[in-house]
Order: sequence, then C-alpha cells, then structure tokens
Amino acid sequence: MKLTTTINGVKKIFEIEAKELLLDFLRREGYFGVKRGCETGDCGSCAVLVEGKAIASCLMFAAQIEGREVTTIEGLGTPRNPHPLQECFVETGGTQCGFCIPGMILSAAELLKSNSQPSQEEIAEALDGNLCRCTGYVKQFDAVKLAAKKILGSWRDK
Amino acid sequence: MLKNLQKFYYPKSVQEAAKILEEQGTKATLVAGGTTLTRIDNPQIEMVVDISRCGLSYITEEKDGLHIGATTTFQELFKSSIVRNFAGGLVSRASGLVSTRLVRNAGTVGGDIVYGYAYNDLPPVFLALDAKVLIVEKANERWIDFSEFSQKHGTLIVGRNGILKEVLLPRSAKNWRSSYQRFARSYSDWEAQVIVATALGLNDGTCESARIVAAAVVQHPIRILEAEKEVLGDSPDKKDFERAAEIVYEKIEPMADWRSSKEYRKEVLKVLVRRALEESSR
Repeated sequence: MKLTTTINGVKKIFEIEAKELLLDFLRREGYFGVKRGCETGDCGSCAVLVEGKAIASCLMFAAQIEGREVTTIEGLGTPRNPHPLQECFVETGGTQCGFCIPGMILSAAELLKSNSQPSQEEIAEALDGNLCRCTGYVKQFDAVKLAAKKILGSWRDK
Repeated sequence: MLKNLQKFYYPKSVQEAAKILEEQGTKATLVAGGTTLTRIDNPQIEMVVDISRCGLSYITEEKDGLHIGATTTFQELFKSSIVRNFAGGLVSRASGLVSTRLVRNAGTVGGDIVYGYAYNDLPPVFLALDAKVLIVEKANERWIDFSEFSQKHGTLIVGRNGILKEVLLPRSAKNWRSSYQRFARSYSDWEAQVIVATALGLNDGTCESARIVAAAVVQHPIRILEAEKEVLGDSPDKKDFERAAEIVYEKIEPMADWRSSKEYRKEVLKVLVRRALEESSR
C-alpha cells in the first residue's frame, strides 16, 4: 500500500506492507538512528517523534503515520549543525556506547519544546521510557538541563 | 503480528468508521495508538480502521461531568488540569502510572478499557468513579454504566461493529477524595500484580459515598461492597479502614502467576486497601 508522510521535513510517498511496524519501515528506508533494542516497547531505543510526540516505533504500524510528520535523530541535527541536546550529551559525558542516545535525545527534545526549564522530576517523567545500561542517567539529566539553559539563552539573545 | 493485514482505512468521522466495520465484519478491527494491536496475533484481521482522525481526542467539563473522547491519550489525561481537579486527581494519577512516556503518548483511553486487560490502569478508576461509556453501533448511540461494561471483555459489549466514543465521569464524583495504589515490579512494568482504587465522598467528616475497587488480582475490576459499608457514615477512622481491608482480604481470591503467589498478593492487597483509604481520607 502507499504511504504519504513527511520525514525530517521532507514529504515523500513510500510503498509499504500494511502489517509492517514503523521501526522496520524507518530502518529499511535508511534511518539507522532508529535503533532496534527490545521490540517490545520497553527500552526506548526505537523512539521517534510523530507530530512532535515521542513514541516507540516498535509499537506503531508504519501505516499509522499516513499524512503525519515524523522526526528521527537524523532530522534533529547533523554533525555540522548539531541540536543543543546533541552537543550537551557529548559535553557532559552522557553518551557511552551511544545505543540509547537517539531515543533519549528525541524524548528530551519533546520535553524542551513544551517545558523550557524542566525540573529533575519532569525530566525523569519525560525520559522514563528510555533505558540506558551504560551511564546511570546522571550525566544524561545534566545534559538535558544544560541544553535547556543553552536553548533559553540563545532565545534571550535574539 | 497481524500476518494477514492488507489494508488501512483512515475515516474522518465515527460514522464513516462504523460503516467500514459493518461492511468488513470480522476481517476489520480498530486502531488508535497501536500499542496493543501491534502485539496481537490474529490471522483473521485483514483490515485496520484508524480512528485516531475522527475527532475523538478531547477532555471537556460540562454540567453533567467530565467528557473524555476515546482517542485521548494517557499523557493528555495526565497533563490535563481539568482531570487533575476531578475526584482528587484519581484519573491523573492512574494515567501517569501507565508504563512509560513513549506508551502514554500513543496509548488511548478507548484502547485501555476495550481491551480491558486485568492489569490495565483506567478500568479500576472508571469503576470507582461510576463512569459511563458511550457506544456507537450503526446509527445508534447508547450509554452503558462502566460497572456493566467492565464485567465482560470490552469487545463483546462494544460489539463486532461497535465503536467506543466517549467516557463520562459524572459530576457526582467531582469532589470525592481518592487514592490509586499500583503494585508491580517497577514503575514501567506493564503487568501490575495488585491494583487498588478508592474514592470517598466526605461531607463535613461524614462519609456519604465510598468506592473500594480491586484490580489485577481479578479478571475484571471489582467493587467490594461489604468493605465499602465499613467506611460509610460518621468520621471513618483508622480502625474502619483496617476492618475494610480485612474484609477485602477475606473476599478476594487473587489470580496469580510466576511474578508472585496468590498468598503474597492477598497480603499486599490488604495493605494497599488500608493505605488507599487512609490517603483518601486526608
């Protein structure tokens, strides 16, 4: 069946199977920043933004994004033009093996869009679907707080 | 995995969705968030009707109470100040405890109560608040008490062609105080082992209404009326709550699985009832 969707700002028409999951579809189309972790909706490495909301792509059919906007980590920032969250996760040491990071950053991106100065509890609630086996989460929370400051600062400077 | 799934429909109204279901019969099913349907095996399903575009995502307060559209997500419920101010925030608390943010952003009220798994968080709180649900079938709409809806698998009541459109939390429950207790291995563990929801309608110290609901330990959420009687009347106190908890302990034979035994769940259930009632009385 045909699927019309906007991925990272680019509107495209794809050919998909009705039964395929969003995770499988995105990786098949080359969005490797979307990771296959548990396939049961428990780990968050497959998280992407659909209409700005972080969801587990292993728990959604590709067909459900018909006419909707999807953002993967590739769409948030690039090595040449990184998003403040991407910079801060590196700066604070919030990244070790890196596998959970795309999903975690996308969850944090959703949070910062609606909450420019999140508290510890608010960060914990927003990121509670993203598991990390490496870091212990402290530096990652620091990264979100630092990114919040950077984004607020650059807004004030404008 | 829906291995025979061929086609998706994207109706723009409930009427359009109902028509498709009527035409396709057992080959079609509904999807809202997808967090449950993507984990189901059913070779009969060839078509999925996406009802997330039918204008059923809303939370409004009207004269008769709170109206919640069926495709409202757990996260929308959790963040809503209208919901937080209703019955001491019982629905907010339960919604916020559903799994993780990634699931809360997609999963919906309708999905939770129609699938009605024993460990789901919204059925017990809707039972505790005397909720009603609106079912659309063909051209007809009918309201059903949640106490009736919750006693069978939702799909048997919604019907082959039925669509759950809305949940109503009646105004009578608005000022009740409440508590939601959920016992699981961790916050994000889908399958809670013991759930208790309580609500007390207190008027100048006198308890005029009481709801004590147990879930997860039973197939469908259940009110324990004998326990509720213990806390009705003049200034219910700690002793009344302990007696109520004891009654629940006697009455309920928990379902159990590899996570914990039924003896353990009985003990936890008694503690959670007492805690929930104490919290509800504050």
